[in-house]
Amino acid sequence: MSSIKALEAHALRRTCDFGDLAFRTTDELPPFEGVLGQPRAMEALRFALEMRRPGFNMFVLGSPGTGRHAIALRALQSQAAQEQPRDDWAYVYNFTTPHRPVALRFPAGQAHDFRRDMERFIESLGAALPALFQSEEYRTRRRLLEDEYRERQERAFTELQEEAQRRSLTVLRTPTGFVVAPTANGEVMQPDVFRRMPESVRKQFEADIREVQNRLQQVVQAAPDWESEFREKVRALNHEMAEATVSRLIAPLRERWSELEPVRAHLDAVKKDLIESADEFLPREPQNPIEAAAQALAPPGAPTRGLRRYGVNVIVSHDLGDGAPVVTEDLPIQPNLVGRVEHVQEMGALVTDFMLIKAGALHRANGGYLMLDALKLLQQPFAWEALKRALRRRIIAIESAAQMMSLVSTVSLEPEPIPLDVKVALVGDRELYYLLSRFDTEFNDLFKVAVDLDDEMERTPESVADYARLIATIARRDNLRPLQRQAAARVLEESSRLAADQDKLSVRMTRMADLLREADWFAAGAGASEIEATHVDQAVAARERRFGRIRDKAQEAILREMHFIDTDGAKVGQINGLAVWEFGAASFGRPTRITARVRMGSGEVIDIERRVDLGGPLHSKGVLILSAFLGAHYAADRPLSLSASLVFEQSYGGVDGDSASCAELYALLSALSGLPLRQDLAVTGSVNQHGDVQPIGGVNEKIEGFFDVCRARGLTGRQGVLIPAANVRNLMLRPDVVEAAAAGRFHIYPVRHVHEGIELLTGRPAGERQPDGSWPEGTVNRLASDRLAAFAEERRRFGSLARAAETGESQ
Amino acid sequence: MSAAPRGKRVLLALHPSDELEAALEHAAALASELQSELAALFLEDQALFDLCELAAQEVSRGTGALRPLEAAALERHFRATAQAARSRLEQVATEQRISWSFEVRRGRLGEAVSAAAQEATLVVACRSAFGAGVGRQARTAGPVAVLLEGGPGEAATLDAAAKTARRTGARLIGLSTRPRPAQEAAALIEQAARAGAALELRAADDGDSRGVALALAEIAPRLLAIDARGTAAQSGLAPHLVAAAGSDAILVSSD
Repeated sequence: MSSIKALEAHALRRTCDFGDLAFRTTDELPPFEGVLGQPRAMEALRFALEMRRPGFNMFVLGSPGTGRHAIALRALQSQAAQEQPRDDWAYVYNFTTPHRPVALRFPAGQAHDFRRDMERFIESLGAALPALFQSEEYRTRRRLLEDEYRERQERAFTELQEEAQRRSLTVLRTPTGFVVAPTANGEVMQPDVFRRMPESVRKQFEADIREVQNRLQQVVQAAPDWESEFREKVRALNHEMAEATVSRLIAPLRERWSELEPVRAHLDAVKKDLIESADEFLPREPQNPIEAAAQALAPPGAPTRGLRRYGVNVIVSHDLGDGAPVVTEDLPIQPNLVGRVEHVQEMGALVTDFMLIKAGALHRANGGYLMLDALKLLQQPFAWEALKRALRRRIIAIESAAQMMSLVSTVSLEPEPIPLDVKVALVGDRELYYLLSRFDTEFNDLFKVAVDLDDEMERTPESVADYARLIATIARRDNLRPLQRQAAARVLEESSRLAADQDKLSVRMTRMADLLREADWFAAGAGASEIEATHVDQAVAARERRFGRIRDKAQEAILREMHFIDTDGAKVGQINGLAVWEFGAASFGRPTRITARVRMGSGEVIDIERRVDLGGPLHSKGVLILSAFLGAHYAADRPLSLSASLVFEQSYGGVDGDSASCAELYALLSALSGLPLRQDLAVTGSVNQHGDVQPIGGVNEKIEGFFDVCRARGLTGRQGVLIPAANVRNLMLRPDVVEAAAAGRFHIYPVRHVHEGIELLTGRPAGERQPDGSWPEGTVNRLASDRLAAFAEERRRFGSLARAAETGESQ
Repeated sequence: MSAAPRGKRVLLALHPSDELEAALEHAAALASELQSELAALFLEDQALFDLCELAAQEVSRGTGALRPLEAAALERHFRATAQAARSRLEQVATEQRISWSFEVRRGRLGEAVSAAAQEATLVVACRSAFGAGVGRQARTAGPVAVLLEGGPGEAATLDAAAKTARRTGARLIGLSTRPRPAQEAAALIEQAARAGAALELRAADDGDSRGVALALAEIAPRLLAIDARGTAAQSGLAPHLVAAAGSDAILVSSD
């Protein structure tokens, strides 16, 4: 009989008693500051935050629910609070290359001051310049110019007309020009009168007409030059008049901003432009219907389009007491990262200018910290590339996706790029981190620091105490009822169960915080002022119920014997394996029947699941390993003349993992030896080529899955589960399972080697190999070995007959 | 007093020129004020067609280039300009809510305007309609001038000029062909004031046509008002005075 002892009940679940930590409810515990159970990650975070070198951005990787975002954000905010805010930035008009707005840098808090200064300056100009151009001096000087120009024209035409009159000619206007005509008595000569004149007179007229025409041509051709000259003189007058006023008004600004060279240069450009285009301050009639419509549609008080170019578009501003910026962007589309140039509809066309440049998250975070969700970032077209390009070039260049793809040819702006100094924290799953690390060649250079958050922490007296304080902190933060000592203990035990380890605590605090909220809900329903242990148990049970529809359906199928699972008796070549099913947030164990059949063959173990593409590679590996075990164990010196088949009965989905390889081996040994296996036991564990039983995952769910079936049918006191001995530390079984074990109604057997397991399952000793290589009589190994020997002999005999037959035929 | 009884016509004499638009606006404003019909007369200068028969050459206003003056081209241009003027008149008249008519007539310019003046209460004529002002820029600034000859139509002419000055915000300068006694001058000033304008009264140094022309040239008005029944208009001097003034003109009938 087997020597394996079932585990004591206390080994099935590690309870929590808080040791020396004295408190009745969590209200008595001090709050927990900091991050629980993440020393490695916090060290990496500190390193990344303090390392101000390019590329030392961080990727905060960890499982969902570990508080990745909160931990990273808190660390960024804490660091930022110790730093000074960086620069303000504004875009202004580029007077030499209008489509490339100029970026101006200001010390924190000063960009808006500059904007206000410019607004007041333009407002002053708006009053001063029109007054200047309406002054008597200006009007007089302008009229003089106009008179001079008009008189010049008139003089030329008058002289021409006088010259014509001296020759009895006159100059007439036609719709498109002028014509020189002969006159008689001051009137244009009639054609017949002209024709009747002597030829010599006519010829003299014609000569005179040609001469006057020539002079007329000279006058007409000179007219544009006169007009240009006139306009140039008016421009010079405007320039002269405006310069004094503009210089006087802009001088205080230049003085105030003298220490910022780019700002001073901009003010000089503003001054030059204002002097050259001062007449834009004059009220003027629209020059065409489009201008008229635009004026009519413009909001009252809006600056004219021309005056907008003296505006200041502050895209980033800080207050001195703010600390460095910490920016998160929940919708990290490309324009939200690098900024964008917006357009407005104007008279049916989309137009833009530097005042429509909008900042992106990189602008706002410049000089500080930017936190982004990696998955969201990667889901947005062009966003990841835009972020990398900005970090690589260390500038923020506003480029639209359409521009990048050359999809539009509309003239737009190319704002001057802004130098970038930002620390980026990406937050995401481990898988994402490893994928990027492997497939994106730039990733490792740009995100040099991995902040790897653990899913669990050691369960020590110190960590348990911290955990209790953290529970207290969450309860206070969320306005929950205080937890009684036993309730807090239940929460900790649930944490260990979530970690699937008696010596660990889960740090997936989102789940634990939810548990506290749910327990509080039950406490409220019970009218309790404190959360009790039963409320925590109710919350755990309720959650299992909520997610348990499929589990219950699966169990119902077993209980109604639609899905065949025996929980008593013994059968040859049949065993209860255990599988874990996962559906979203829910996972549960479920027994599944595994059967094996053997016959003479050539050493092949057929994995039926694999043959029909329902078995995964890990399952196939397990089957190959057990095949190797069989061959080495029983047929080291002769051919393994066996053909075996293994199947998960009534399994219509995929099977993967090697946690059933132990059960499959037991089924094969049973089929070989002819010894029936106990059906009141279920088995989980993988096996290596030496027959050692190796640990598997999901041990608690698997045990509970078989327990639930057995309990539903009635616990016999013989039922139980064989688990790898190495998995004992993972046991955090439900209290009802522990209670059944304590009462001797259900058993958990830790198994180290398949010999131990087969003894328990068959009731026969496995048998130790004797010095002559044989196995003791009546043992499982002997029976299996004999069967294999028989197969080998049969095979040899068939081989001889076949050869004889072939020889006979050849004769 | 009212310069034009209800039902009378304001006649607008037009000829293709830069001043066409300004003359049109003056006329429309006056017609609206007088609640009169606005009758536009688009004049095609017969002299130009006569010159076509003499193989005359035209100097382009834009480039100074020479090209033959052809009747067909002239007609085409006149027609296009007339059409544009008609459309503009329709637009302005609709805005001002005045009735209007439009006629194209071919003739000698000065004569045609003078003849038209006999048919209307008031004639607004762009100066090119008098055959004057060749090559000059349209003047859009300056005072409104009124030629005060002391005839029976003087009051109506002053009234029309004063209203135009008030409407355009221009100064009103009255140029008398003779010195006026103080009482007479005061009456003129008071009349202008009633029409909403402050009259600056001047007297020509020399009352003949040359002196008046010199005085008008010095004033450089944007618009010159002349009594259609006065000596200047009746003796055929109006075109010369308009040319000297360098402005558009209104001929005001006292009927």
